[in-house]
Amino acid sequence: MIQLSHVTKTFRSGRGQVKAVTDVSLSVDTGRFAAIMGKSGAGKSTLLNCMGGLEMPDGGEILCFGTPIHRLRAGKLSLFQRRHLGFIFQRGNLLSYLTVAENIGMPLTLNGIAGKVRDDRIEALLADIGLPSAATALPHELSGGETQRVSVARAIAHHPKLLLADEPTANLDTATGQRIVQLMRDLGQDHGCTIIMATHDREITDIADPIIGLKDGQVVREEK
Amino acid sequence: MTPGGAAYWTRIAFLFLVRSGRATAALSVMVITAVAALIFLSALAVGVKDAMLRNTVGLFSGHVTGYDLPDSIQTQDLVVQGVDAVLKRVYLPGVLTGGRLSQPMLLCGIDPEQETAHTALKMKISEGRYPLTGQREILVSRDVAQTLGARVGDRLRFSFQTGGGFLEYSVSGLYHTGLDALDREMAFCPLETMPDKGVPWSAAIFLTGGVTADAILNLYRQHWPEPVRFESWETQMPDLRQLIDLEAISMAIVIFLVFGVVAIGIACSFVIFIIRNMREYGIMRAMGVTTAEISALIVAKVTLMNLVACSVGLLIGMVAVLVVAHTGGIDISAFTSHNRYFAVSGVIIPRLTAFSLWAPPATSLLFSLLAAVWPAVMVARKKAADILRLI
Repeated sequence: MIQLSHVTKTFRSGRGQVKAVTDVSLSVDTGRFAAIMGKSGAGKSTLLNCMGGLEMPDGGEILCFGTPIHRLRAGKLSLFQRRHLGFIFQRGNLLSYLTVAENIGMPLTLNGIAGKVRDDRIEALLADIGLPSAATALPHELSGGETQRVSVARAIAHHPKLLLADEPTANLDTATGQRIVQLMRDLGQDHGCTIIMATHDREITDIADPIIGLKDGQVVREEK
Repeated sequence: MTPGGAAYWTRIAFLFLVRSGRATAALSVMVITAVAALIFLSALAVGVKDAMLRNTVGLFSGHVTGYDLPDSIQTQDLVVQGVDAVLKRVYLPGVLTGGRLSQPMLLCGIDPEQETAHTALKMKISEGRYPLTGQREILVSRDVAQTLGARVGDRLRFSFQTGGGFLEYSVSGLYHTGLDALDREMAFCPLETMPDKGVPWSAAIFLTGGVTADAILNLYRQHWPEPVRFESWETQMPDLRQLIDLEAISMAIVIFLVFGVVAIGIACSFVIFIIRNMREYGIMRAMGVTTAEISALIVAKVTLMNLVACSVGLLIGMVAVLVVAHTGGIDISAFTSHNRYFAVSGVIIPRLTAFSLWAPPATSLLFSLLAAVWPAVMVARKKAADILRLI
């Protein structure tokens, strides 16, 4: 379970203080596919980053499967992230100088999975995302949809407990976006993964549960 | 550290460099060019020092001079390992007279064949030739000839300072070196034509390349104590010693400045090279790659590229130096014709030393690694979200 209690995050810039997240409390049960919905600037990415430890909240608590990640020191946080988390971003997810197989293989190597086990898992994932012959392709040789499919494969390759996706379909056409979401859900469910996805795409409401509405950094509704 | 640790990140760094082909090539060319140019420049500085020394001691004096040598010591006795040649010379003070004009002069008895073989004075003869062995001939400077109103073939009388005797010589040739000690105070004649008065003789000792005068001096002084004296060119020509030191300092300043500019250029390029991929470091941070691992990756990229680029630069610099050295060197005679420290030849032959060979690649690597520190610290200090948001 992911639990957030009174999480607040403020950014300081030349324009003064901007409250990106204000007193957010919510929880997502293990194995669920949750969606954080809201307009651009609502605080979706900041909230997601706080959940994944990419951003430290100014106040409140974040328990990620019982671990207070907001209290972890850098080294332990990195180890927690590499073992238990998977991220998918809106763009530029893949390391441009590594092939598709090498990109997918990186979280496996980071978690000590090597040799035939790693190679077999990469092969299986490539088959799952419908790109069985793309192992040696470099990211610039892929389309936007293919890139995000590889991103999904890489994010779940090491069987993380939590998959965080920050508007992964924003740069894709509707059909491709739906296929990516479907892929995330299918692969996530296969591995018992909790998925939290930030999006402003209303189509997602059909498959996500719960749906957390965010406006000006605050939770405005939570639908189950 | 990741299982597989350093080897894994080195492999990732290698893949990055190979697959970032154009950027890697552009940066490599810069490092290669800088290292090769700096090696050549350093070798040239060594060549300038060599040329000044070669010109000055090679003209006449030799690297080591022995004074007040008794007849019991023969030239062969002074030939030890590291000595190329020992030339016997006898000096007699007196007055050289031509017609009604005369000038104080130090007459130097020489072995013409040995002198032509081992000194460069022959190259400074502007008219006539060297005296012939056994012939009562004298080689005087153009300045002395002008003072005495003498030409090649004229007869001059040399009167001894002590004893009241004199000898007559025919002028075999005129020379001009630009060095006052040779042009105004000395004249040369074959040893056999000098009166045998049992005067002590002097030795001009020429060393083989790479042998220091101090090593030979120590050996001689152990064998032949006072009153026999041996002096190195550094003692005899303190002005040359100072000039070489001055030249070395000037060149060191120039090279340091050039090194500095090149190093800063390399450092800035590396910073750009690393920052260009900052987003990818953000992605890696999100994947749980630790800051230590990212720093290791950055250092591995810089080190790998430098090792390859510096090796190529080292090779090109070495080849350039060897090619120039074996094709006659760089002739700067047009700029040295009136410089007494280039009295014989204005040719500079670049020479590689350990410093000229290793300092440029070491500098490049050092500054590149220093340049890698800033982006590494930046990646380490910034939150992954900030990197991903900003870039």
